[in-house]
Amino acid sequence: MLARVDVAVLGATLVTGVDGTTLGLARAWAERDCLLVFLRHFACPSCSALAAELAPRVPELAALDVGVWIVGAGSPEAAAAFRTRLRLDDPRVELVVSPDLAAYRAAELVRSRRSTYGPRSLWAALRLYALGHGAKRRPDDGDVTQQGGVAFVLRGGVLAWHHANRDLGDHLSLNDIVDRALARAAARSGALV
Amino acid sequence: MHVDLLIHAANATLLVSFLVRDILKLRMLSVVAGGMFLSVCLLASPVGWASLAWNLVFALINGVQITRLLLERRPVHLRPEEHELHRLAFRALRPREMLRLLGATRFVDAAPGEVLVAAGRDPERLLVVLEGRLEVRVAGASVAALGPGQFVGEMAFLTRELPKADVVVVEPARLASLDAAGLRRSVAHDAELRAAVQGILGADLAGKLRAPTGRA
Repeated sequence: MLARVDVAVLGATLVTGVDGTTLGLARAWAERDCLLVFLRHFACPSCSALAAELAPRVPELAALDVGVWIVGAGSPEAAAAFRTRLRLDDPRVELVVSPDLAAYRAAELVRSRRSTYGPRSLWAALRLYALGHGAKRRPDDGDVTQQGGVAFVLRGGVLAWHHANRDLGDHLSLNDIVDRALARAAARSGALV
Repeated sequence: MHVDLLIHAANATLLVSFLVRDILKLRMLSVVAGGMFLSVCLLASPVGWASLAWNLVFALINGVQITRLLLERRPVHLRPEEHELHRLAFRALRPREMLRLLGATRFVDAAPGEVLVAAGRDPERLLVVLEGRLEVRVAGASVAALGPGQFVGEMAFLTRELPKADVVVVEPARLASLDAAGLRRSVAHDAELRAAVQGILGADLAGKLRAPTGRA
């Protein structure tokens, strides 16, 4: 899975910020290591749960010079609504969108009906909705059949690790993500012991 | 007649148990109800052995869980050096969480000159300095100093890579030694504790990276 993602192609992908500006995704790892979180659509309960868990841990990652970029599949307006709903107001979190899914294709993420409507996804969705995650879907929230994933790209553009979710129930826990981010940050930093 | 009253009382108690939110109270009420059902089984003619056996199983399970809950809710008393470890390095943890880490912790003294971590060798533990001073040395040259409250070996713990430097005691030291495998086990099934420990180690790592003395 790791070898399939071409970081140069991923970096050349154009994404749009919440304010409507267009930028190349490579900016995410131009100055620091970057945790790239690909959401499904903005009403996705799994993505809401992950973002809600991620928000308070951004300072922890920032202290280790790890940037956090969240990529959505909907419109900039839907992204802004998502940001407000999840209180992702830390300026160190970059929220961008790739409505044409080009960034998702470059990141080799799964997109299929089966992954969206399979029993694992339905069970995960039920569990997450019961826990209060997710929101009413708006038309510009993004493609429901697109799955999310996570990638950790080192400064300069080396892919350290990558996880493409197979379905709604298959995602790394935030602790797993932070563990890996911490390990990479520690290794990259030159810490000795 | 008495048996009917007992059945009603048992069911009413069970109903009340379903209304309470506290799991300990729920289990206790359930045991009381179970006791009444047991009496009903014994007073029945013939004795309802099957119901009696099932109620005993329920009572046993509830008894075990009640004991666990009571143990978990008892106040935590940390010994002085455990309290010091909590204050210096794990302040973000609740005392009850601290107890879980202490299961993997030993307190050790180290004399000047003692090598606590050797370059290229898995330390298999995470150390916290409680007293004294240590030096991080690369090829014999000091590159950083470590004192109370600082971790030793978190890079190796986080990355599972071997240390690239020695850590040597320069002033008599008292340390908490956390077994790396034990620590991983302690946090494996507790997402909150794991997140807290990650935050603590990350903050220590970030602090060292910002320190002008060098990268410990």
